[in-house]
Amino acid sequence: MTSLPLLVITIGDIRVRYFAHPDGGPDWPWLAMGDVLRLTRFEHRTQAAFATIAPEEAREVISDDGPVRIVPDWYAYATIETAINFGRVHPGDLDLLKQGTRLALAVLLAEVPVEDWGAWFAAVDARPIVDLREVAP
Amino acid sequence: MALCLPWPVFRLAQHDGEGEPAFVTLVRDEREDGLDLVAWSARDPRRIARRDGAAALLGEGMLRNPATFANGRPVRIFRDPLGWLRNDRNGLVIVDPIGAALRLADAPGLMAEDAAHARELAEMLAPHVAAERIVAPRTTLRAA
Repeated sequence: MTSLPLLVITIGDIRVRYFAHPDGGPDWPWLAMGDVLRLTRFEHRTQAAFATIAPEEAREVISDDGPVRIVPDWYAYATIETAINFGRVHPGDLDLLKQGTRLALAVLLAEVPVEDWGAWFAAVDARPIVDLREVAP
Repeated sequence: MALCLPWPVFRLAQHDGEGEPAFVTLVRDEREDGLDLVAWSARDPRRIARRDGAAALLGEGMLRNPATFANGRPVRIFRDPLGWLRNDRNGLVIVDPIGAALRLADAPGLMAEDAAHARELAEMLAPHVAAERIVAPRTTLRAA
């Protein structure tokens, strides 16, 4: 099944695509890793080295222009921060990338009834947060 | 990209075939000023190196924030930067065990990822951090 991007933005001359969670569950928008790597403006061999590595969450979807590896937003941000720390990317590009996430989220939430937004965000937050009442020495 | 060897200080690879892909994260102090750069291997995130030797923990700026320990809440410690990123950077990752032990000596509580991790931390941070102050989620204790 083809997965169309939720949103496509352009930062400088780089296209960045945002996708819904591949399983359709509640989650922040995911990003096309290839787009993020191009945004780093690292030389091609460095981009190629990073392209061989991905977090365990990474997935592949079929978009209208072929297979696309997508990664969670936190992984994309860490990648861009690395490029910022190497002086390859202006920090403003990371802000734009995060603005894109918020816009893509708005697209996602447009499909969710407003009365269900609380449950939607709770489901997103439930995964990483440990209930501190469940803490033992 | 960054070359993570020799530990604990990284330098940039200068030649083809040298080094390995690494993420580089800026560690900030409590005023949000940059303190040090920390590189961690993209293939093995537990391989961590510093540029200047100033940072002991990823996220260490939060240690001076009183809200971090509000109501006796323990600060979370992650095994590696990927776990830290997955959890919205809400916690710490140890970069330098000795420096981390000194910085965490007054922390009211630390929360490990699981029971095995809590034992690792107790050994790593002794004697500055008492083992009684290191906790783990109860569910992982049951599973252990």
